Amino acid sequence: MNIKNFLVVSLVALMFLITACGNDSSADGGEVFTASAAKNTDSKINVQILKSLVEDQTSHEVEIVEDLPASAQIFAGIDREEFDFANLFSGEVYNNYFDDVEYSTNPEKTLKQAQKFFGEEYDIKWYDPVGFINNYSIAVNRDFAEKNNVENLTQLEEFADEMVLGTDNAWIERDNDGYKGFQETYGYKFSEARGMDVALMYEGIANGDLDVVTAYTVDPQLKEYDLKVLKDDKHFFPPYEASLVARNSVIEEYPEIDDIVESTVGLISTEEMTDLIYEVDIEKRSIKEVSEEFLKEKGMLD
Amino acid sequence: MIELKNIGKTFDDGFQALKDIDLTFEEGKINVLIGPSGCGKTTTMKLLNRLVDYTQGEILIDEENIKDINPITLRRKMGFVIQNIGLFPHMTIYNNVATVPKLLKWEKKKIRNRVVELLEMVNLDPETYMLRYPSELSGGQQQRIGVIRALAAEPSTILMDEPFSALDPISREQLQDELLRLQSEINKTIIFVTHDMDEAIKIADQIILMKDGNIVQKGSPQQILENPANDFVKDFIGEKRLGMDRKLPQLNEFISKDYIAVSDDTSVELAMDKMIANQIAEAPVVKHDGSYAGVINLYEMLSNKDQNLQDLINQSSSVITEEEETENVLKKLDKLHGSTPIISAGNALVGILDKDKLLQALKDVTEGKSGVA
Amino acid sequence: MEFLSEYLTYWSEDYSSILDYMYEHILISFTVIILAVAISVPLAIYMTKMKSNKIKGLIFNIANVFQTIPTIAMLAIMIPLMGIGFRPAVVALLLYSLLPLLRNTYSGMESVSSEIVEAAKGMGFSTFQRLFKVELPVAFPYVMSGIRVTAVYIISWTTLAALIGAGGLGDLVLAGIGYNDQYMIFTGTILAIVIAVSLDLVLGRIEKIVKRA
Repeated sequence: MNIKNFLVVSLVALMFLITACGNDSSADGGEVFTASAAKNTDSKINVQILKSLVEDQTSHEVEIVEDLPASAQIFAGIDREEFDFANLFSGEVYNNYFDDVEYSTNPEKTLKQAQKFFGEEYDIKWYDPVGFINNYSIAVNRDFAEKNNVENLTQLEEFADEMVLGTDNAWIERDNDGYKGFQETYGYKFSEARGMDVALMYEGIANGDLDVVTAYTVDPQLKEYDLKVLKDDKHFFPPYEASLVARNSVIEEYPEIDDIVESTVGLISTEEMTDLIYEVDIEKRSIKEVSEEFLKEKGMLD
Repeated sequence: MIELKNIGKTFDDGFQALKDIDLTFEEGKINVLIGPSGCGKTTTMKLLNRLVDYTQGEILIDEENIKDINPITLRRKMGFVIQNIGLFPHMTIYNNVATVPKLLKWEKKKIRNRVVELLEMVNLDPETYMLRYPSELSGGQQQRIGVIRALAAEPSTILMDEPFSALDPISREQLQDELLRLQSEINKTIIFVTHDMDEAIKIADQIILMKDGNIVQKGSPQQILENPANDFVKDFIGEKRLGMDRKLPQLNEFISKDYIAVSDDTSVELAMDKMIANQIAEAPVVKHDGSYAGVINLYEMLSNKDQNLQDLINQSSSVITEEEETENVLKKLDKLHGSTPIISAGNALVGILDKDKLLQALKDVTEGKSGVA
Repeated sequence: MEFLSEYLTYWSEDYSSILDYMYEHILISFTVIILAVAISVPLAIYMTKMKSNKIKGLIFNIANVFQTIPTIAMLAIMIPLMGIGFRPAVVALLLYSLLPLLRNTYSGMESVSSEIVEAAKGMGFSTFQRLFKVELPVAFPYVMSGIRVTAVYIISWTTLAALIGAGGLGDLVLAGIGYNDQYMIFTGTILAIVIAVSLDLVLGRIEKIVKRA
């Protein structure tokens, strides 16, 4: 074994050791917590805000594990006590986790169910929403919308049979809030529906291969490609309100952290989050920089 | 007949593989090209089926310039056996042997008969082996197939590129024997490349010994062994083989001119005095014209002093003729006495046999032999 | 047992869409395999006859570069050029599969021992006869194993087609991940394996038949 290999192996071993030990000591003698976020930038920004606040106000440190493929992996990590915090969305409660959850598009009811079901199942505290909503939505080119005077999804019906829909791979297969449910609620479908990577989906509509996309309400590409989100006039899409969650055992032991997370409730509106994401994804600035700049504006960080 | 005239070969990288080769491969003979690696022996062979093209000179096959013959046609007319057998692993023995006949589009039945005939020729049962694949055969069997594959289309010339070098010594011996046996039936012009002098001595009619792109010596194995052209040839042949094949010197080496002869017209008394003075019991008798008359014995004369010398000559005593092989003389040595006369074809006395010298020479040769064993 | 009955229910409810995904997957991957073989195998054979090592190196380097392009970048490049769906997916996968096929075929052809080539030459095969009657048949098992390995890769890579709207079993896997549905992930994965293993068996059978002929 040469020295380089040896170093790599020791480094990997070290990393395992660190993760295995979990709550290690921070530089200031506090704890080191782990916060996780999925692939979407809004999740990453939200946990970065948590990290910045915790590290500013306490001696603890927060490590971020991001780019998890979906919520199932985040819950798995929480279950194994590898993650102490996470950014999650209320609408996840309808994603196949529980048999006896009652489907609803009412934000209040959805949040209550998420807090109850996930809270009990994973022994976590599901905080009240941070403020921004990252719903599924249907978007078209602004030119098209204006030319044809389309404001909401009901008005889109007369054009739908000549439109190609691009969406993420999951939406077509989802039960309640997926394509099937959409067809039941609005009574029409598009000429074609193609599942694909979200980033490529925007390329596709910019390129003219797609006419309609299922966007997330905070996606900065809506701005970048000048797309218009159509109004969900029949309230089909369930609300995806972002909340931070924390393991109960952590906040019981460190109540000061509970206070910090509570201080983020209602902190960021959907518009604000879209702007922040735009700074990160389109302007290519770092998440940390953008998040801390925002916190300073809000007077929460010096 | 294949003639190479002033052949030279310079490769693209400037390496001069052959320099001015003049060579004739006789019809129906086994011609062995031999020499250390890099000497040009394989290159010389590959010139003949144009796997390599020469850069100077010309090659004539039965008076026809080789460059005027389409290489594909040329190759199909020549058998080719290569070093590591080179059987096609994906083909059965049948198809391997039938390769060239198939290329020449022979009739199926003719091909089949030919394959069977060839397999029988090398003592491989056609029924057993025809449908097997090369990997199912031993190395020796594979190279037998390699050889008969080269014979399949009845070429007049067969090129063999170190065909037996990869085989174990026993298989190699067997195949050499088989090749000689086959050759006695088929009489092909064989050009055989090897680096093994034993092999060359065993099978060659003509050995062409090469070094650095030149021919150092060519001739029959006998000629080369007996008269190596220079030290390189001697080295290449090796002391061992020179010793093994060292012949007894010619008979004239053992003729002693230092002898006492008696003229047939002398008196018995004079003859007796001469013999006693020289302490010999027997002497050859010559006539006045120098021709041999017989031998005379001292004791015979003592008891018959009054008789004429001519009546006492023993004409039936054994003699050796000058042309006899030394080995032949050796065989009847026990029947010869000390001073056996040696006579020329014209019956003239040329000397007497030096028996001691002959015995010494015999001793040298046998010791030379056992010395390397 | 409960898992099994639930899983069977999932199949009975969704089998038509599952079969659709499978059909798309087969269509994409088989198109790629056929095109890749049709391009790479003759090219690799031609390369073994090429004298210039520079050109050979260049071709290998180009094929190499294609392989190192990250998938998502490759697909993003494809959209402005070819749009979304079947075509860009096939082209992208084709570019990925060039290198393994080229390499395998090339080294397969190179594995034919020089003695055999020389024997064939010396016995009077023309260049084409030599290629088709000796070199290709001898190299065939190697070339075929290259094709088989690459075919399995391609079937696995075809899950990426789901990223560019071409469908296939990748759609099922990604939907399963996004929607927290283990059955979808499982089904997509298993079916891709089934296709790969079946194709490998079929190719193995073809190899045997061709060899015998």
